[in-house]
Amino acid sequence: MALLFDSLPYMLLFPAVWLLYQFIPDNRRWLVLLLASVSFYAALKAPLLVVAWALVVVVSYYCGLAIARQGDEPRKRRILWGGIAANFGVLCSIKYLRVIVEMWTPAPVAEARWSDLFVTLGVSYYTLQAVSYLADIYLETLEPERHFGRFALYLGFFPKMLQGPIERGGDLLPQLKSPYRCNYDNVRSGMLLFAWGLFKKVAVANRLAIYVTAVYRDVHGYGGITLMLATYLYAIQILADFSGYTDMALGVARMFNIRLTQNFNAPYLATSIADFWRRWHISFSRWILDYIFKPLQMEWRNWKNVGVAGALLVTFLFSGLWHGVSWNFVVWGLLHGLFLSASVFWKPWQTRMWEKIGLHNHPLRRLVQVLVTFNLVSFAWIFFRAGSLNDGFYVATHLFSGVGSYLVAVASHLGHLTQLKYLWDPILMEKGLRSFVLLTVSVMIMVLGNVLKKRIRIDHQPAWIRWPLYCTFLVALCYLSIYDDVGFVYFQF
Amino acid sequence: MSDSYTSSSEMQPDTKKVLQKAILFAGLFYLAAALASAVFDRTIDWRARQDPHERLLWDSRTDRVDVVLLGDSAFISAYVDSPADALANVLQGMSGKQVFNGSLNGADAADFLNATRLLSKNGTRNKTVVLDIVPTRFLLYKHPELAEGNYPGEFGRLVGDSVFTEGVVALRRPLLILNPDVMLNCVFPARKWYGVEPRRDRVWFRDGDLARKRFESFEKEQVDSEALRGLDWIQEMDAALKSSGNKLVIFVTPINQLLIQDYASKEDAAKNIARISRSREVLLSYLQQKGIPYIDGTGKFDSTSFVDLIHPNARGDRRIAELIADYLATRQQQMAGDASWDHATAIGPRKAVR
Repeated sequence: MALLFDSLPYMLLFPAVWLLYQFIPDNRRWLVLLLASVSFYAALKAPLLVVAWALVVVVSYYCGLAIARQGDEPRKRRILWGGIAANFGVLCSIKYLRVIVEMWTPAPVAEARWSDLFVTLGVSYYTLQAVSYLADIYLETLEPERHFGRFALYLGFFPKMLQGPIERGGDLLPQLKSPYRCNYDNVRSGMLLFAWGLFKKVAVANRLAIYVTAVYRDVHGYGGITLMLATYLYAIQILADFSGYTDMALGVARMFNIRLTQNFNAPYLATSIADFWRRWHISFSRWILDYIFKPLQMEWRNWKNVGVAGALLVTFLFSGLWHGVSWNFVVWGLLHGLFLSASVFWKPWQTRMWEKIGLHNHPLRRLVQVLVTFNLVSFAWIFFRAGSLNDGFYVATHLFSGVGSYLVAVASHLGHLTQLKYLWDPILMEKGLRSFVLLTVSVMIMVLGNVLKKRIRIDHQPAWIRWPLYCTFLVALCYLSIYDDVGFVYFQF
Repeated sequence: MSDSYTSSSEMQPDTKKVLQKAILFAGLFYLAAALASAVFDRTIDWRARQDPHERLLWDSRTDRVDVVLLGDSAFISAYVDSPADALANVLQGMSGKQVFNGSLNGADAADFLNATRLLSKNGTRNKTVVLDIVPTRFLLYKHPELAEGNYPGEFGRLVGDSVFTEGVVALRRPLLILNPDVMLNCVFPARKWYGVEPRRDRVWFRDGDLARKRFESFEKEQVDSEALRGLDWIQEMDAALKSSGNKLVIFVTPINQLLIQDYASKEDAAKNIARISRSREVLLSYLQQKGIPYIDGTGKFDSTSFVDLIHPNARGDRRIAELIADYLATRQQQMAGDASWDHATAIGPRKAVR
């Protein structure tokens, strides 16, 4: 029984943990959260995961103390690199275990025998967190945590363990130490955030997954219109899936008075790829920016723009590899690296171009930039989602196949479009009109909710508005949800 | 009272407030939903609006019938024009027994086992449960059979596998109005489950390329191996049904051999037919060995009864109904002559069928 956020056991066991937390003295509260974290992690029934987490905790804890204690710079650096190597060693051993095993054993046999060992949930997240912890101590921006239990909790705090956010020690550790006092407003807003995240996951992402999976499972069986639509739908799916998880994580943490890092800020409204990475998976992009890009940029600063472009390429190659051992992720990472590197050289020209055509400060400029960025990001998602590199290239090269003739057919039958099944088939993807309507309603609620939540504070409304609204939302959740054990997209990393 | 709470002896005021409000809200919501469900169940003929091909997933009245049909798409009557043509109704007319069709499109072994558990949960006792098995089920395919079946979510909502999930199922039972399938079928214009297009007389060789495409994907999906999938789930199902006082009968659904000979190359056709025959023989010998009664449809259907390799049209459904009705009649006679149910089953599978 995997205790994932969108599973019923989790939703019933979590309140028990919260309740227990209320009755424990402050100096023991960390223990409740740590035991809950280990239990939730152990419920994945992948013993190697718990061992790997324990290893990272022990190594990072002692390396952190040793770095802080050490006065000699070269030794300090050696301990830092030793700690980083050990953490990445654990990460690589877990992530690449499947690849290594499959060198000797056929994939289906290996899967059948050792599937429990191939689970990698959460490892990428807490190892990056551990590395940043060590680096911050080395850079003397953070004091090492001396309480072993609290440190273990810092790496394994259950709301963020499986899919982040990747928290910095300076942000999370002080919160884990501060005395707790139940705050009604925090609990209520945490619950609302959790429910909103749940909606995004089960009503939007899971619904979209049905379409996207059907197409990407057999890309050769579909024409350009369907491939294009599936690609855009995947862009929405991955956002709803990942930001849904993050909202749930943030909501759960908030109920314990802990504020986790916001991981998303309307990423598809970004006006450039650089802007996109400031809005998408923020904790991860901050991490690669601080610990990979900046040191490389400093190292290559004499090469000016070429150095910056090179640093961006390497950074995003790492980003691709962090996501998984597959050429698909390498291509995805390289594409983002290329977009960003190209923008280093293109940006001055771009500014001049907008000035020349007189749209430098025009809202149209922003609209064009948003559209271009969204399309570039969606194009890169093709490789992220495709089952193989061949499938990815097939989709990328067939996005427009048959589109012309389709548009001609639509134009010539404008009067009676609803009667022509063959015109709707590429859009409905054999899933039926009802399913498509429900999907559209779910996506619209998500978009509307995102817009409204910034303008209307539900918790400031009177009870006679709030309670019926909660009930309506619960009913909508029941009607629009799909629980097909789809899993969270970002869990695999 | 200090600002910083370090003691566990008393509940913080906000904790109390959270608990009070959470309990009140949950209780009110549950009561309102249960009440609305009860009113809905009494006033709306909602069953008429549900997909009969998925009846098992929404209708809990399996205890009110004599015969329950379980199986996959071969039994769901996908190729008939009206309910009157559907397998369950034809069989009902022929046998004079109440029939419940609980077959599910694309159902797999795990789904059949879940269906068995669901029957027992619905209080189904002393019924004949006829399960369709097409011998192609035991061939190896590139997409592996899912251990949790093809309806894990749906069955998960209906049957629990632990005290905890069973408790959740029990709590959810009165909340019919929150069942999205039931409600959405009522809210959206009633769909025509039959008669969407003329289907009852579709025959594979004069039905465009539907049958050919399906056969090609069957060939593409198949693994070139003589190994077969396991059969032990059948015994597990038999035992589970016996323990709830029901009786399992297997209907060995035939395949359209002529289609294979027509669509495959000579060499591939021979290989396919031999492989399927072997699978059938293994199945029959397994059933005999385990003492599970069966009705073998092989050789009793002509090729015009099929829409493709395995799916029957209205003519095929009628033939299936005839064979099952014959079996039920024979068994009724035997039971009338025998003192006990146990003795009747001990007669053995072949005698029971023929």
